[in-house]
Amino acid sequence: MGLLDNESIPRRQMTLFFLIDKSGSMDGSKIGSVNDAIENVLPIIGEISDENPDAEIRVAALEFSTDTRWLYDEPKEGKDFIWQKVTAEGMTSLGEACRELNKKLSRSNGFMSSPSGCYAPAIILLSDGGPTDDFESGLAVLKNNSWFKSAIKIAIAIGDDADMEVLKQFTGSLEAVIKVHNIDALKKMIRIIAVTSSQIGSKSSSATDESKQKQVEEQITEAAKDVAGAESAAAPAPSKQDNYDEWD
Amino acid sequence: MAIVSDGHGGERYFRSDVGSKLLVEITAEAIRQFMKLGGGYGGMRLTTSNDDPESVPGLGVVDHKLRWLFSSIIAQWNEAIERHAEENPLSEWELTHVDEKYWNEFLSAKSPEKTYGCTLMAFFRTSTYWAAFQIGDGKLLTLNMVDGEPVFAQPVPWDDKCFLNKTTSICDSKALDEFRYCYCSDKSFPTAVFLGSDGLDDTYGDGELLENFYMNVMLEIAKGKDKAMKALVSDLTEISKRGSKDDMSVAIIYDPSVAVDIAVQLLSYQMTRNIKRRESLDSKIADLEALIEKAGSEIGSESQRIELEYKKKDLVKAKEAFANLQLQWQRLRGKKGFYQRLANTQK
Repeated sequence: MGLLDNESIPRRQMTLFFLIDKSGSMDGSKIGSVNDAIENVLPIIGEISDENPDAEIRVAALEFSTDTRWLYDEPKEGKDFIWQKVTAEGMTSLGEACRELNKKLSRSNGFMSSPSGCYAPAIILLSDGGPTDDFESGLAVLKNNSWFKSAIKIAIAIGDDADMEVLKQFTGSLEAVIKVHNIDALKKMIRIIAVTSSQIGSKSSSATDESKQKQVEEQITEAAKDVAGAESAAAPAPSKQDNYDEWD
Repeated sequence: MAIVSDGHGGERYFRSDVGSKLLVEITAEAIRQFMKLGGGYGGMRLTTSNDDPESVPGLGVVDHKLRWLFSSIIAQWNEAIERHAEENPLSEWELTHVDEKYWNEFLSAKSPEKTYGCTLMAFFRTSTYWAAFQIGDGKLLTLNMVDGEPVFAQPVPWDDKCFLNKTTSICDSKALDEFRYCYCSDKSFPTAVFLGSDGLDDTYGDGELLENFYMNVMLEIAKGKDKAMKALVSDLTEISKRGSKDDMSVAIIYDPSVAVDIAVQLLSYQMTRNIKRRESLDSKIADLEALIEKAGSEIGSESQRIELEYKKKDLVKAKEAFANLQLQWQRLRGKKGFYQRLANTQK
């Protein structure tokens, strides 16, 4: 007998959120690539979670266009997450998506448990345009949320029409926004960002949440330099052919 | 009384080990003085710093006296660390291992409080009242046995500023306003009290798993203080390795004369809970099996296929949980036999 027997010690939890713009302009290769990339990265996140003795990574996904919808009503482990293909149509209600995310970044009726025993979440926003609703008031609500304040926040701007100012406001810095110009870059950056955020976000260390955000920003900025058609919004690549949008 | 102070991690707080040791000593003496001067107020049911002093009779007086206690602790701690800083210039080790910006802060600051920063929680009781107070994170739990069942509570209000790795601290400029407390003088004393630093609740969360841990501590205590101390020293090290990786401090107040009796009651409760959970899982497994059988013949859409997949996963998890509960039941039965024999020996 002792204090250890009878009870297993749970791993700490980290939740990875995908916020997916599925407005009409995402139709075709953009939304197809998002579906492929996330579906393919989920087993990798499952592996990162299984190999991490300190943390269990769970995944939640919110699609937004005219309305918003969570793919599941609870976060699921990466290896258990069965991806449901997202189809594009409608407007870009990013403000409403912020409000919806705020509801779930909560312990009561939300996806979060006690802050004790949790790591800050990681949130990845993918968008190809600008909000068509009241984004500012939605973001204002979200910015008061303690989980959001502590979260790793990264945005992927899909193409030249993405509203960089909005994505900067969401993540808190231009360094956290990666711009992609073609299908291949989109798929690669979704994978790189999801994996990097999961690895750093679920790491047990004395790193503060702020420094985890910086670590992710630095690593994905560096990685984007090797991906043709991807660039950090804070340090755009020199003008060359693969800086032009190519989505067909 | 029981006091826990947890020095902040992080390079900036490179003398927090000294800060926390000084804070415990100062707090103990300040509480003694408080009790000597008659810090109580009779007949008050459990009241906290979140209650309105205008609407709870006596709370204004208690609030005033406790704030005086907190002020005294803060002032004495600041004095003590300033004296320590003067008498102990930066060591070679500190100069080589701590970032320059932090020892510059130590050297240039009017008061070196950040260098010594730490949290504090304390519980104390007299024959007529008990009180608990806290600044910063960590969890203070009380245990009461009600009709043979354990009822845990966290009577000191929580401060939402303590979130993930952020915490309020004795080194904050507005520390006095960040103290939270509870006070009770209706002569209802908790059966036991547990004070644990945040390394523990970062491992177990602040719900049932943390309560289970303290129930196991009570079982060890029933075997005797020395055995409980030995178990804490060895097992907390292992729990920290497997859990939060943070250091852990625990202080406990209990009544040794009822420890074995409480251990038997806790085990009876855990066995009853185990039976109820197995019954619930048994019913869930039957429902899932029926749903899977039915759904298997009705798959039409993608969403129905996905739903079926998740039901199958849920079924596997429910069966695993059931098997674990069966194993737990065997262990609990063995333990209860041990403590019943211990109780008979004592009689």
